[in-house]
Parts: sequence; structure tokens; C-alpha cells
Amino acid sequence: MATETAAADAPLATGSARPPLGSATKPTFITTTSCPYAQRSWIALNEKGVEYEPVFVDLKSKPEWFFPLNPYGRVPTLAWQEGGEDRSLYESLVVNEYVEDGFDGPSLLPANPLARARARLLIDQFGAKFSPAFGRVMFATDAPEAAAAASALDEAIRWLDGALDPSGPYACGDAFTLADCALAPFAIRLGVLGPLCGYEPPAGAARVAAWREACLARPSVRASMVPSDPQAYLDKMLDTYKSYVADRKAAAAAAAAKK
Amino acid sequence: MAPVADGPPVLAEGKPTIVSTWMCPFAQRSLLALNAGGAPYSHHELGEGELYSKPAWFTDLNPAGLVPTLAWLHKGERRVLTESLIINEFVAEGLDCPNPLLPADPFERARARLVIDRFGSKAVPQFYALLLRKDEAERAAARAALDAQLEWLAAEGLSAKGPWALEGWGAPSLVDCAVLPFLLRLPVLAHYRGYAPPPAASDRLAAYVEAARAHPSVAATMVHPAGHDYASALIESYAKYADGTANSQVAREIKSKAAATTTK
Repeated sequence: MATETAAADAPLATGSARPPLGSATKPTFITTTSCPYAQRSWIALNEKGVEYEPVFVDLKSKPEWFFPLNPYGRVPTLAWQEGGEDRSLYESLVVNEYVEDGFDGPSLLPANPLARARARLLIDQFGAKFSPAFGRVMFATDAPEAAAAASALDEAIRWLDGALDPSGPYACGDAFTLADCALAPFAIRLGVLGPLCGYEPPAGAARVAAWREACLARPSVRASMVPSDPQAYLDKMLDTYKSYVADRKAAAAAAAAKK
Repeated sequence: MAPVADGPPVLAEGKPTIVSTWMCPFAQRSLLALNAGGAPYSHHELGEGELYSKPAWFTDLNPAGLVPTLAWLHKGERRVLTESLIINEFVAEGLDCPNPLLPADPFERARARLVIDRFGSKAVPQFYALLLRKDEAERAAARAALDAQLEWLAAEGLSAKGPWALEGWGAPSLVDCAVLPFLLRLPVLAHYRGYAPPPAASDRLAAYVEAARAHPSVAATMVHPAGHDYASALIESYAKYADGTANSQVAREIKSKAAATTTK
């Protein structure tokens, strides 16, 4: 864990040498400490018990070796060498299905095909409703936009409250699944929106609150958090998000100045 | 292809019914998967306008009122699935299909899903953008973006030898099911926008579409339910997209998004 923190503090950037890639059974996991999509796969790898080699990259100054592994230049990226060839996978949900299919370990999806389909539907609907609303709240530039964004996120949270398994503790019931891997990173980051821009989740979303706590207590989730203490993690995320918002404002101002 | 039905489908115990319309490419993805997989199913074709008028039995089955919708009974209780790609994964693993729809190898399976994901998120929106955008500069951007995605598809997404997407496959897989409905609609883009695939992609795509049309799993989905000429009816079905007045879910989503600014 200490090694991980040191590596996380010195992410590989443009001009860096490509680190040696792992093997099929011990792949290299390319990530950052703040990206929620990368965290989806980080949690899945931890939960499955996969041995992996974490490599942190600087997304503001991407290493050249990154693009042959992932043409999008994004995290998460899973990479290894097999039969003398480089192999890689990316897109968090594709990586997660691979983690489930391709490694021994506890099942991250139910055995029943319909239950699997429902878990995937939950992930899909969450992606359509929640993540865009979250982004709108974060980046709202004026009061009317902030109000509209908050309303959309409120609606998404109320939807989630009804969509999570009523008994829990996890999204699909008593087993921790790929649905939790996919949804938890965003739910965790809800804690940043208050200090960042004054957004508070609607009252009455008790199921979301309880499920979020259950995820934060899960060892596989903690192991994807650098630092692992939830409050320290959120404080650091807040600093990161403040800089994202500032960067976007600066970019918008520069674009407006050009016109 | 089922004739248009009157009223709601009668759901069967253990055998899925797909609710679809002949003109919807997303519904076609799941019809293709059901045909290619080979497991028994029933087909309920919505009546003309029912996709928009959304009869009560339909919204009762699927509150979103979208196709494809897959429904059946399990010990008398109704089961419903939506979203074409999720339905397709369910068909592949949950219906005891005689024919495989995805590679058995986990890595090959993941690469197949990457092709499906990339095509769906990068190429499909450009089909609609090219039809729906009114501004000539925005249409040009959609053309360029679509060119780039079709070049990628022909060069990397599809197998080198073909005709099917996956290397060494002699029959459709879920990749073909996801991609073909849109390639089979290239004539719509040709008709309304004079669009043709870029030269680097045209041979591979032409061979692909030709082989696909000849396969029974695909041919069965290219029939107009009332017996009209499918090709011209398909073009006609996009008239409202081409003049910007379309109000389907996908049309509204594309209209509300900003136009493409890059080809990536």
C-alpha cells in the first residue's frame, strides 16, 4: 500500500519509458487515483482477487506508450504480454466483464442469466441517468444551470433509490456484484459535491445512503482509494475536482476571448 | 418476419417474445441475435404508429415504451428485458441457443464487446447526426466522423478475411448483430445525403453487407410486414429524420447533443 501511494504520487507522463507489462495472470492495471471509471475496474480486480501491477499515469501529460495500448488514451486500461504479443483491454464495463470471465475467484455476477441481465441493465440505466447529471452539477456555471442540474441529479438519485435491491446491502442484494463496482465510484463522489458547489442529495434516499456506506466499508473498495481513509480520500478528490472546474472555466474564458 | 399483430402479445412460459418494429435498427439487432442463436422465440410486430402511440399494454410491459422489448412468463410471472445489447447478451447466455453468439475465450469475448461498444458509441450517433443536423457544417462534421469510424471498422473492427466480424466465424455473432442494422441503412444515407463509405472501407463493407443479406438470419429481418418493397419502405421511414421533424427517442437524444467537433 505504501508503494502504491508512492507510485500514485509520481504518475508516468509524456517522455516516460513504458513499464514492463505483466502477464495474463498478473496483468498491468493502468489507472489514476481520481477517475471513477478506472475505480470501477480497480474495485472489480480487488473483489475478484486478481494479482495486478498498478501503474499510474498523468492524464494531463499522457505517455506516448499509452496510446498503442488504448487508442482513447484513457483509464482504466488493462495490459499484459501473452505469446510475445501485447494485449490490452479498456472501457471500464468491458474490462469488468473480462475480470469476471477471465480469472478464477468469487463470481461478480449472479449465475442466473436473467439476474445477470438485470444487473447489466442497472449499470446501463445508471450510466444514462446518473453520471451525466453528476457532471452537469459539477460544471454548472450559473445559478439557473446549477438549479436545473441539481434537479436532474435529485431525480437520478430518487430513481437509484428505487432501483437498488430493497434488502441489500448491495445493489443487487446480498452479493457484491459488477453493479456495485460500476455504481459505487460515483456514489462515493457525491460526498464531494457539497463542499464543491453546495449540492446536497434529496432527503429520503435512504436506500442510496445505506448502500453507499456499505460500499465504502467494503475492503475491495477501500483498496481502490488512495488514501484509503474515506474522509481523506474525499478531501483529496475535492481538491482534484476544484482544479477540474477551474481548468474548465479557464478554457471557456480563453475560447470566449478568441471570439 | 411476423405480420402486424392486433392487440397485445400472448406471452409464453419459458419462450421469449420480442416486441419490435420492422424499421427500428435497435430492434433489428435483437431479432438478428435471436435468429442467429437459433433458440425458439415469438415475434410481435407493433402496428404502424404504435411505437409512437404506445398502447397501454406496451407501456405496461415496458414503461419506457421502446423496442426491442423481450418478454416471457416464468412460472406464470412476467419477465421483461430491454436494451438491445443487454437483450443480446441474455440471448447468448440464457436461451440455450444451438449456435454460439460470442467467443468462448474471455479475451476474444472482451475484444468483441469492445468493437460493439466502439461502434455503438462512435459510429451510430453519426448515422443519425448526418440525417438530423440541418447546418451544412454540422453535416460535414458528421460525414467526416462517420468516415473515420467506418474506416476503423473495415480495417480493425471486422476480421481481415471476413465476411463476418469475428475472425474465423462462418456465421453471425453478436458483433454482426450490433453493427449490421446500421450498415444495412447506408442506402438511407445515400438517398438523403449522398453519403457513401470512404474508399478505404468500401470493399470490405460491401463484401460484408452482401454476405449478410444472403444469410437467412439477416434476410428474415429485411421484410416489410405488409409485404411492401422493403428497401424503398426503409428509405421512406427515415423521411422525418431527414427533414428534422423526427421525434423518436434517438432523434431527440441526437438533436439535444452538440454536433461532432472531432472525428474521434
